Order: sequence, then structure tokens, then C-alpha cells
Amino acid sequence: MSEVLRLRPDALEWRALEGEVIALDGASSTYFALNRTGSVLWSALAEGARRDQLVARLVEAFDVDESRAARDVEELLAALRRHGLLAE
Amino acid sequence: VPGAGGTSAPGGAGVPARSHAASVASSELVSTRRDSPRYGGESAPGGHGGISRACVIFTIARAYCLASAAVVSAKGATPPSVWHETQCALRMVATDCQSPATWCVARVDGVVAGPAANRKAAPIATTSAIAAGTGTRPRGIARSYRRPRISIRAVKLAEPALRATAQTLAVDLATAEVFAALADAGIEAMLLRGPVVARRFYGDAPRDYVDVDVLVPPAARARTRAVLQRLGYRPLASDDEVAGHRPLHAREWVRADGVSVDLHRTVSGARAPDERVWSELAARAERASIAGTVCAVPRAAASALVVALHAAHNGPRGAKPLADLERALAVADDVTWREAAALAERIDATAALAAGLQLVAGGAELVGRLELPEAQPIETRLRSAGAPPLALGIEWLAHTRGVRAKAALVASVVVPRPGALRTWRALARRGRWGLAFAYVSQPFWLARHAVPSLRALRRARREVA
Repeated sequence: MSEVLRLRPDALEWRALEGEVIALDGASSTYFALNRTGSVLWSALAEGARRDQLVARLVEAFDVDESRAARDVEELLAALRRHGLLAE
Repeated sequence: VPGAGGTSAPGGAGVPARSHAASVASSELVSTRRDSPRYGGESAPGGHGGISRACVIFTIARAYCLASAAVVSAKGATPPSVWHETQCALRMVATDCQSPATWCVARVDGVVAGPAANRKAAPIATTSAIAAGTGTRPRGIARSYRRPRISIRAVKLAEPALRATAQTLAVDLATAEVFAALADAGIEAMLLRGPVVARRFYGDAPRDYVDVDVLVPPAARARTRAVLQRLGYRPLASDDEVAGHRPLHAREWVRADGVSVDLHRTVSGARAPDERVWSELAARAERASIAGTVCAVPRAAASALVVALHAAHNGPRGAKPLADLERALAVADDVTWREAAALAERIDATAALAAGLQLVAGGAELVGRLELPEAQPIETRLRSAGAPPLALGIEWLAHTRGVRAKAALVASVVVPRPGALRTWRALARRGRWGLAFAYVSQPFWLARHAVPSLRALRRARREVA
């Protein structure tokens, strides 16, 4: 079973704004924006989710096939890691 | 309908079946508005619908003028080809998707419906639903897919909603930082408003805030200042700069990143000693986690009282405090308000509570049910009546004893210290140039407000006599 992925618990605040998510990373004083698709994954990561659950969320919410959703989830996770927004 | 030859597509009751389906789905989304705040001029929750007169009176007048102009110009009716296309693009909720270049596509149970502009027209349900983390759509609706993306976002001044959200996020993080630092220093503190009001009275609806309202016991005030200084905050005005002036219920501390902390010694409208205000509010305080830090917050009745006192402090022009109070009235029951009234009596804030409640619809009835007295101190009367700022200063001057003290007070208002000027006038906070302009314009500012302030003071004195 794959690991449960979560957002970093400290110094990270976010809000939904017109379907997107605006997040403030207090550690780097940087604002981030996630598009509508990204915001679905963000809310799942806030609760904690495995990769397969993230993919399922996308497939359930959007008109997208599983292989493409899996690829896009990996890309977003990589971007979140790069910005230091995921809990290690 | 594009491509339909200028005529409506056939369907039951003259409406295409899939248009009807899309319309129903849209209505379902919008129906949750009964639980949502008003974004524009819509009727209040529980109302009969429609738009408030104040919001449409100008647009109706404009439409009337345009219609009259059209008649006078005698150009005749708008050609159907123009009218139909325009209505299609701007008004209709569900329309066949004939041109992918024109319409943003959303699939509704296999039906293509809705231009982007139309989906944007009903953001209320979706926004609150996302905030609640409950999803944004009824089951069965699959939205158009775009690759999930995260990007660094520059917050531009031209985006007020984004700016407000960004500031709220910053305030949340600052709140966590301040309360963690106070706890480390062994200082008891209470978060009075901001996220407390948002969570207690707004539920899932968004409510932005701009500063951190911290109440500390009098004995911990000096140590709290030291903690704030260590975190990079500086007082807007030092004690010396406002010496002799009417004491404020809170002093503002600001940081270079724009975050500010209102350090409260008491709550506005409370005439009891600060120590008693602290002990009454801190009694049965609750805990809330703000950005991962646990903060003491007032219990429900105390929160309701704080909101009402804040409304009284800002008067009829304080749109946000009034909106908070309206929400509190809608959410809190009479038992809570009775407890708030009892608390107000213990901190000698009954008059301000009554004054605040009377500013909003339904408040006067609650004042009657709570049997709150009508008598008001002059300061409460001035504030709740929205008197010009100088009125309170003139009242304070009248009560200042001794000719020398009065003269010193007048001099310090005409040529104030920088901190005092920043406290009174927003212009003075806009850097050196703002401060310079505020100094230059101070005599004119005083002259402009003097007569209305004197009138307001005279009226208030008559009313409280």
C-alpha cells in the first residue's frame, strides 16, 4: 500500500477563492495558486490521501481517464515537493 | 441559439430538454444561497428573494435612459440577429454548444451546457461549498478537465478579492505566531475577533479580516509588548505621543510586512476596570486552533457581545461590523443573547450593547426582549450615531481639567506627534509623503470636521440629557 501524503502541517494556510485555492507558505512568505483541478487534490492532501485515492478523486470529479489522471497527480506532487509544501 | 437560424430550438414548453436539465442543475446550486452570505444586493436569508432596491435603482434609471434614447432615436427595434446573439452570449443559462471557440464547455449528465460567463454568474453556492470542503457540484456533473497546476501567485492590487484572501491568510499565520510566542512567554491572551467571528457566525461562508485582535490581562501588558517587539511589531504610536488624549480600548502594532496586531486593554464600550473585563471574558473561554496554534477565544455569548460592541464602536457606517452583527443575530439564540446581556452588565457595557443592537434590523426587538435600558453615555451615543471623529475629541477636551492641560491638548491635535497622527488618519500611514500631506492638511481636516462635530456633540448631549 502506498504512503499517505499530506500537506505540511505548519506555517501553511489556504482558502478557496472562486473555485481555486490560494495558499500562503509562511516559511517562504510565498503565495501559491492552484487551479480548479489542483484544488481538488489539495483538499484531499489536506486530509491525507494515498496516490490511488488522489487519482480516484480526479477521475470522479472530472472527465478524465485514469492513466492521464495518474500522470498529472505525479506531476503535481512533484511540484508540491519542489516548493516544500508536502509533509516529509 | 447559434446555428438555429434565429429561432428557439423546439422542446417541451418551448424549452430544449437539455437546456431545462442544465437550468435545474444550476438552480440546485444556487438554492444553497439561503445559507450563504449576500455577495451583492440579494435579499437576506429567509427573505422573499429579489434584489434590494438600493442595488438596482441606478441601473434601472440607466436602463430607462437608454430605452428612452432608443425610442427617441427612432432606429427601431434591435434586429433579432443582434439581440439573439447578445442574449445568447450574456444572459442565457443553458444553451447548446455550437462553437467550442465561443463556449466554455461543462458536461451535465452527458449534456453540454453553459457558457463560462453564465457559470461565473452564480458563484455563491460553489464558493461556499469549496470553503466547506464539501465539493463543488452535484453528483453526476463532470467538469471540464485541465491539468492540475500550482503556481506562485503575485497578489496584485487590482484583485481585491484575492488581496483580501491573501491578507486573511497572512493574518491567520501571524495570529498563530503571536499566540505561540505569548504562550512561550507564559502570557495568557485571548483572540477576540477575526477567525473567531468567522467560524462562530459565518459558518462555511467566507469572511476576511485584516488584523489580529489580542486581549491580555493588565498585568501582562508590558511583557506582551516585549513579545510583539521581538516578533518585529512596532506600536503605531508610543505612549508619549498620545499622552493626554482620550485613552483607546486598543493600540495598534504594525510590522513591515503589513500585518497589524490590535493589542486590547479592554473591549470598546466597556466601562468596567480592565482587570474585570479580562476576568469576565476569560472565564469559561474556549479554545480554537488557528493555523495549527491553539488560542483562547471568547465563548459564544462573549463573542456575540464583542461583535455588538464593535458595531456600536463603528456606528452606522461600519459596514463590516454591522454585517458581523447581522450574522450574530441570525446565528445566536435568545439564550445566548441573554447571557451576553448579563456579561455586558458585569463589565458595564450594557449601554453600548443596546446601542450596537439597535443599528441592525431585528436588533431593536432584541433590545426590548432583553429589557436593556435606553440611557446611553455620551461617548456611546456619539459612536453609535456615527459622529465625526472630532466630536469625541471635543468631548474629551471639555472634560479635561485645567487651562494648561486644555491648551496642551489643543496644540497636540493641531500639530500632533507622528504616532498620534498615524493613529487618527489613514493618510499619515502611507509612508513619509503620506505623513507629510497629513501634517499639511491637518488644519484643513480639523476645520472641515469642526462644525459637523460640534453639531453632532450638541445633538448627542440633547439626546442623552
